[in-house]
Amino acid sequence: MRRVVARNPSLLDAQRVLERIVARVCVVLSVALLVAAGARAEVVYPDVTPGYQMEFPRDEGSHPLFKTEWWYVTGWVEDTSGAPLGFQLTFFRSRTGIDDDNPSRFALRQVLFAHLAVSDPKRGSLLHHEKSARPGFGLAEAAEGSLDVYIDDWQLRRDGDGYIAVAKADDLQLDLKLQPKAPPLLQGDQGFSQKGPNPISASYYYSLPQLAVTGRIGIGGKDQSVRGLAWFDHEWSSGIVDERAQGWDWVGINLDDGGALMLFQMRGSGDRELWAAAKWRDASANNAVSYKPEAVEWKPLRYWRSSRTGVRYPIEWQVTVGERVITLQPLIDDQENDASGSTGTIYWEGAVRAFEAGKPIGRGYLELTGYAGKMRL
Amino acid sequence: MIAPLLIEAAITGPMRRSPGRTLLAVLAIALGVALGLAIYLINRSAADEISLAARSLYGLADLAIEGGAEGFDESVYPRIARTPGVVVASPVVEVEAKVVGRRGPLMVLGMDGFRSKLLQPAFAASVVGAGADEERSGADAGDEQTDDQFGNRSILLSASAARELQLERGEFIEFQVGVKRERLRVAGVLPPAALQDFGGVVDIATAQWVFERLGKLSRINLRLATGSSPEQVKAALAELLPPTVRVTTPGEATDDALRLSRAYRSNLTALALVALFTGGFFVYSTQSLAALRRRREFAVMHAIGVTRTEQLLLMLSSTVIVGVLGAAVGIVLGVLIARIGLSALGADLGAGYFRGLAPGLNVHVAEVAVFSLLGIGVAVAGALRPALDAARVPTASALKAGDITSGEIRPHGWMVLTLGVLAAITVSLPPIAGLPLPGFVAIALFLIACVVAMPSVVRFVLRHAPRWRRIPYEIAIAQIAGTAKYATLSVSSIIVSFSLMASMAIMVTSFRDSLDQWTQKVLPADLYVRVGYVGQSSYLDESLAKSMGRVPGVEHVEYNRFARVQLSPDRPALTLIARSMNRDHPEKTLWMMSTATDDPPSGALPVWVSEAASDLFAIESGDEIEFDLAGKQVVGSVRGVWRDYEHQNGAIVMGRDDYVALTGDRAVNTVWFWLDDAADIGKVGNAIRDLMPPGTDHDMRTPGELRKLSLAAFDRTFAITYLLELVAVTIGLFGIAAGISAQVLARRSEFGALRHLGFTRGQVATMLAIEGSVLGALGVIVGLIAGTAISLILIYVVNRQSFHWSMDLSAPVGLLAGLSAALIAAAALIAVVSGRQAMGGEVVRAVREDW
Repeated sequence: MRRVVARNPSLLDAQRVLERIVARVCVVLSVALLVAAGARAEVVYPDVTPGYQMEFPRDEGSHPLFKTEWWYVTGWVEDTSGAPLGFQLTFFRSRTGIDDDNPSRFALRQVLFAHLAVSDPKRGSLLHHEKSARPGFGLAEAAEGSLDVYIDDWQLRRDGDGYIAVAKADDLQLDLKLQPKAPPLLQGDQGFSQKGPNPISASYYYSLPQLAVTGRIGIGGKDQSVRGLAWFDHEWSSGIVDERAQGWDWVGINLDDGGALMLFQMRGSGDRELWAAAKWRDASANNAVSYKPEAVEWKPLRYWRSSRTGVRYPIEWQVTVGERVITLQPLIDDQENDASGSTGTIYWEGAVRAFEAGKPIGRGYLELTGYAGKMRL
Repeated sequence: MIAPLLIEAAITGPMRRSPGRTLLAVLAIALGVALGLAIYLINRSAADEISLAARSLYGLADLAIEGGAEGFDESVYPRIARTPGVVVASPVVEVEAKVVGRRGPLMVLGMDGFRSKLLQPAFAASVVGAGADEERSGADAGDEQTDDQFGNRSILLSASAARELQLERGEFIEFQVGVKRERLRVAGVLPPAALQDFGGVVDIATAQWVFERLGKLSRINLRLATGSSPEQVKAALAELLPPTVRVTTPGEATDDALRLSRAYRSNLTALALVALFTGGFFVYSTQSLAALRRRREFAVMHAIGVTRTEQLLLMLSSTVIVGVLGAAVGIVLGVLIARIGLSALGADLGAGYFRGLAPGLNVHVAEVAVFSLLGIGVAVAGALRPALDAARVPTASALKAGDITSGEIRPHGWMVLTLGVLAAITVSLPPIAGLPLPGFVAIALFLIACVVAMPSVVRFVLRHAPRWRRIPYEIAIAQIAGTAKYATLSVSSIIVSFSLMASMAIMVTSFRDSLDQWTQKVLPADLYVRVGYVGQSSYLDESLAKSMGRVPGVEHVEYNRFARVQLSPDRPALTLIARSMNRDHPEKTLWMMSTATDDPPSGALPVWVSEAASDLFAIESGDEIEFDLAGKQVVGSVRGVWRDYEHQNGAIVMGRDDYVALTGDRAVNTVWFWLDDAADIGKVGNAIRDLMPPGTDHDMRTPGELRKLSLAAFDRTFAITYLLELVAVTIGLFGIAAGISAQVLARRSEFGALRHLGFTRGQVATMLAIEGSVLGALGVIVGLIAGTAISLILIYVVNRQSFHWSMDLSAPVGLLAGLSAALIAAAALIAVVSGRQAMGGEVVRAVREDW
């Protein structure tokens, strides 16, 4: 489950979370004020149901009828000196539910957002940027049929049998090539990923772990070639969050042995686990094991409080997946992403190392949402 | 040691001894400074406000692509966005939308908030505020029903629009598009800083859809990459764009808005400074009189060793005191007037240039300093000549008794001639930066020439004065002749102010009469129905207009359609009027100033241009012009130039059939109805109204009503100028009052002598009344002659250059005669009243004073 959406986890109802996000983001960003409600009665969003057969590259592309969708790349790279660097590039699509009958080419049927962030231990905090646009005119699109999503000169698209991720901001440029080594990892039950006790909250979800990364990252005008490993997630849904959920914790780890581990929990009131799941694929990529909620346990070990927002995040964890007990330690403490000025999101999204019995076993990205406390409601 | 005594003798003493004159001098300067400052402040506030409004429209944009009211095809947008050097391209659809139940249009901006937030962060922040409200209230209500009333088509209103329309968040605003109604929900009110105009903001897709602008953009605001050259980007963009679409820097757009009103504003400022100018003359005349009167004092000062330079300084410092006091009072008064004027009349002082503008007033120190210095400067300049004269007083002869008057008049023939020639040269110069500055300079030169020539005029007139064997009359004439210098000085300020007033009155009357005739000429029909105007969203379908023509009682109808065309990329668009035209007799519907005699070249469309268009673009009858209309290049042959008081940026008339053939646009804005002789205009009007869809917003007027409206607008515009003239004449009256009373008081001994000789009080009073009225009449006659000459400059130079409007000379004889009589009477009255004071009781003893 990814993210950009994370912004206001204390809103309960699943529909409403997304609607509010859309409404808010649009209200905030655009003058459009799309309180989608007026049109809501007529707008039908497809349900997410078990048994859908994912096909590639078709399902890499956009599913514009669904309410929300994201494409998400995170990874660990090293520069030529061997210093580690974490990066994140996310594209998020939201169907507004309005303007369906507006013949204008500017009709605001969809909205696209993108987040770009780099964690550089030398800086000690996150460097991040965001972009948003209405699709159209070839300036911003989320294409159907294969992966091609872009806003101006930020893009994520298929290139041959690999992918290209490009984003440019004033002090941060990213130009990476991602090469998969194994077929997609279908999350949940053949890509049907249940997010709560009620199967209505679910998404279609697959991942591409162990992507080989080559390319360049420029920070503050210093451009350097990098290489490393990335994790790609693609998820789409019309109703994803259980109404009791306060937020979620998610992690995806590229294991050093070539395997991949994804696990998440939805937190209810009092930050108690409401639902959880995990998927562990071995190095051969042939066997993947799904774990039920009771087999997954998240236990916070260390907290960090942001001096900017005052929000306290559990940034170090002990997670249990079946028999395995793994600790997660952040690359740097401050990987908070505060976009409350524009999109209203405050969350923590950062590079982590995974240890088992004190030994490093892999590296990945951890996402923590719903800690910004109750916002006005 | 001697200094305090000297100061008392030369400065404070005289001021104290004639408190009335000192007060009048202070007041004259104060009024001049106050009016000048007030008008300037009001103008500047308006200009600031417009710049601010433009800033909120363009935000941080470095360049803007502008397509006028018609807009341009949206397909250029992605190409422009991808042009190297362009970082942000924010498309805008601008519509002058007709709000149901309101006369003026609401400026609706359709924007892509995702793009515009990068250029207008303040704007975006305010939208965030509105959004937050939205969310909060949605959460309060918490259920679907409340949400259901939200249309997805909503508008954010500017603070001024919300105030004027009395709308709040959640209410609906109804627009008329064509004859359809469209409702938008008011989603919020922007803070005043975000959008200055009477306007609102909607999503660009909503704007295109609701206001029938699909596929069209009005503007694209551009932000350039740091370090990129705007000129290079401009050149690259120009290649992408059709010729009618122009690349502007946002400043130019502000200029367009300001240029329209600039001539009016500068004329007003010039008029305001006339008051100060008159104040200067007042100081000049009172100081000159004082200098003559105090010759003996000066001689005594010289005798006791005060150098001439010291004396000059003493004399000037007394006017500096007057200037400082006047400036101080004037500044306070000016700020006060500006504040009242802004709130009562609006930033354009009632002229209707800036609708919905409510600027606040802030005064800068520099402005206060400049206007104070101006006031002091004018006072000192006015006193310079008299002070120099005083310093030159010959000690010995001035000490002798009886040397009070030096009546000699030096003719200044050469000076008058030089000034006249200079005025003639400047009056023929072209305007500077679109402003008729040479015209104003010529007026000032001419006025100074008049004042300089005044002594000769007085001498000439008195030499030819009619003989009338009545003692008071003869003495009065002899007195004026003997003190011609005094006489000239007394009347100079009245000449200056009265000539200016007369010229303004003649100009305004000429203008008003021409306007009146023009409205009658251009409104030949019996009834007019107008729906929408240039660039507005509403119009009539041709079929509807045709069915109106079939209403019983209608003899025939004609249609007008308004559009905009661009003749030059650097100038604001012109109004295109498509209407039925009689090609051979355009004068039947237009007031032709000139017509082409040759035949139009084949392939060129006959068009008729307004005077403003002719002036601004240097087009004359017989010329060819090229412009774009509905994407087609049109060659027009100018068949004539017509008089127009409506479109300041110029207008072009073409036949409606030609227009329809070119554009396919058959919509109609105005229908002109000619009725049968027997038709009842009220019934016809009702039948026409019944044809329109219920609630269509329209204007139905008879020519009489339209004429009344336009004259009312005219009078409102010129009301402020009447006020300014009045002040100038008041200062002029101060001048004559001060002059006459000073002289009369100085002549106490003379009155004593006359009484000794058997004059009755009544006879002395008659004599004084005759003196006063002769002086007044001299000033008034010269003022009238000079005023007529100045009015010619105003009409044929200043006005033409400012507004490109011609007019026919027409003098308000009654008004001028009345004013002249009033001024002469006032002068006589002042003389008698001062005489009565002077004669109070001790007249006979006064005879002894000189001995």
